[in-house]
Amino acid sequence: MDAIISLVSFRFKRFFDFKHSGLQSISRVISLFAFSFSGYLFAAISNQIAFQKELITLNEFNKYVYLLITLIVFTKGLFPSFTPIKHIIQSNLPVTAKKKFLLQIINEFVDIVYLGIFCFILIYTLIINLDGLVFITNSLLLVIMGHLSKRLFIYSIQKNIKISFRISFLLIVILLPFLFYSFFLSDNLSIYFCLFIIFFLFVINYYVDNNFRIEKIGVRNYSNKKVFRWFINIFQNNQQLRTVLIISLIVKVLMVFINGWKSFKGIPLLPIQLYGIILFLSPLILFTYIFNNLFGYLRSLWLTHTLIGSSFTKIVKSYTSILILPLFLDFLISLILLYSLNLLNYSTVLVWFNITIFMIPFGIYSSFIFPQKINNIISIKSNTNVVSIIVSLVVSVSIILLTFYNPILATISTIAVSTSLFYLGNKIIKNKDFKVYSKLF
Amino acid sequence: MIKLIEIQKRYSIKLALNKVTLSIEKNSIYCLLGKNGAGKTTLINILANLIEPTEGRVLINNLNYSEGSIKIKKDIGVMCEANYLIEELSGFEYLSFVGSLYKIDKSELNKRINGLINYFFEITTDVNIPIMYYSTGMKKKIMLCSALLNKPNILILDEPFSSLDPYASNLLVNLLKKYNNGNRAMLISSHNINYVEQIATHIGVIDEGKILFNGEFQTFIENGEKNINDSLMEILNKTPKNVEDLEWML
Repeated sequence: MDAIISLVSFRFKRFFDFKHSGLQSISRVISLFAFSFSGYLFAAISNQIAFQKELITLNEFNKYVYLLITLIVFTKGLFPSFTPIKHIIQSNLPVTAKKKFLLQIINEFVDIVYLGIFCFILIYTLIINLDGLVFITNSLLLVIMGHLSKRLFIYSIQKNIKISFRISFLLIVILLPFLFYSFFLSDNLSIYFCLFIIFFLFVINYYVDNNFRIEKIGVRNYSNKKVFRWFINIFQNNQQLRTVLIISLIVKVLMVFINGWKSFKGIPLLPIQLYGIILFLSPLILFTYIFNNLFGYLRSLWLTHTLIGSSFTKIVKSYTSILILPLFLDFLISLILLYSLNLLNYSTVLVWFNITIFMIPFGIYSSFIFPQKINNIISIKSNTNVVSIIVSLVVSVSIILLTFYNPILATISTIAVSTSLFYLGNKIIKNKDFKVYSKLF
Repeated sequence: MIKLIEIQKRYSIKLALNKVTLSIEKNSIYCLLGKNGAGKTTLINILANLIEPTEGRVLINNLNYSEGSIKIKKDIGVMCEANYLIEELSGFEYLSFVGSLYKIDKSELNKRINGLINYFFEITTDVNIPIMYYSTGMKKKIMLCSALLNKPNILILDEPFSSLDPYASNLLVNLLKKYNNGNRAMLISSHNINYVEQIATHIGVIDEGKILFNGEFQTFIENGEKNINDSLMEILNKTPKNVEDLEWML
């Protein structure tokens, strides 16, 4: 108990140590103020809703606040910078595994962001005209669930864990938001279910903490699963890829918020807005960012292929295997959000697949024929040719419309377009007629 | 006090330790020497229970980690290569936290921390600033203090002299000489043979995961007929290399 008290008190003391870390302490105070003020603002909006609408609307609003809290918890440590989990208790210290794990978790929770979230929750709870106890309980449970699942995600990237473990962690991590959503946005499940998930997450985290020790760096086996390793390395070291994934996620979550706000206002969705939402929930955002930034920046990637004697098919296959994880994540995020918008059906899922089938060969093909000079590492503005962006948008919108009109025809057309892109790509490679190489050599 | 029996450690593509058997008794300062990547740190990490061996057994005071983990850990002090410091805390706070894990009485703990800080640090007020602002050498000193805080009977230090200035290194040498009071054993890995020469009672030379020499320091230097550097080179320099091969540079 002494160790826990001293750890927590020392950490809190350091938060506001103006004498030794003045600037950092000031920024911490500002962050806390910002979180508290946001809590006040959200509560004010919530009270306005309660005044204007029925109580059920306020419950709906709270669910979006839950979603926002989960999002902040989950992105902390992953974006903008990747922060690996650092163990604070050396294995040679006389502490039992359980106590060690407890101290580790406590140390992770004593953090300015979590303190800020707590201030947000507290201020919001004090002001809203609703049962505050339910809100504060649910929010805190969400913070714990979010942190524990994020921890597994970070571990799966940080440690030299075998691929099967990685995939199972990822599945857990990805399924959890779905469970959160089911719990908080459908009212069907009980608090006991939430506690069960927390217990389950604690057990897995405890197991991972005690069974996967940091092995000597530099002697990892890179020979197997090179592509996956490559992606993990890029994710750890490349802020752009993280930006790509997080922006893709944030934009999609924003769509849910906008939809939610429209529901509050009682504005019905027009068909064109509905198609717009589906377009955003397709992998188009992911592809736009990947082809604009990541592939543009890592232009030398193209050089890693021996193009003489290679084929467009081989290149597409290779890059698809690199993209498989972001695509998988994007697919699951889209599924959750489509479900939240009551748009999850056969056609919308087919839209996602059709756009993927088109965008992979088209993205690589357009990078060949419209290579752009990249000046900055991080670029918000487009690095891809405007023509290719317009083409991708037009084709994607056509795919959506056609899928809703006739799904089978849409799929056949998409496959036909992709096949012709393969044909054109192979032809270009055979003739060695793409500008990127003529510029470089 | 320490026994390593047939220890083997295999990383996915490399055999880091190959059937290492070693025994370190009371009243000895065992210095482990070897090239980079020879397996010194792996050996120390296994001994400190930071990593597990693929095969073999570690016995400390006739107990292994699975039998008496806490009992063993209370009696050892370790300074390893990895940095486990909580960088948000000050040096003093970190040591207090470590002391609380050993359940040392508060007044006694303060006495020990102040004593160690006064010994290793020139400007003692430095220990009140967060560790994240420390230099590498200062961090090393905090790690050393942390390893010594519980007055361990078995002290394991991995590269204690690296990053330390010559003054602090000499302080450490003097401390280690005094610390060896007859009931204690120390295992130290180091590349700095000048300091090793001053403290070692026993020497182990490891190369490619195998122990090439294991014996008393006097035997190693053939009772003073050779110096430590020559003895070490004789063991390690199996394929002599000639600087003249770099003629393009010279």
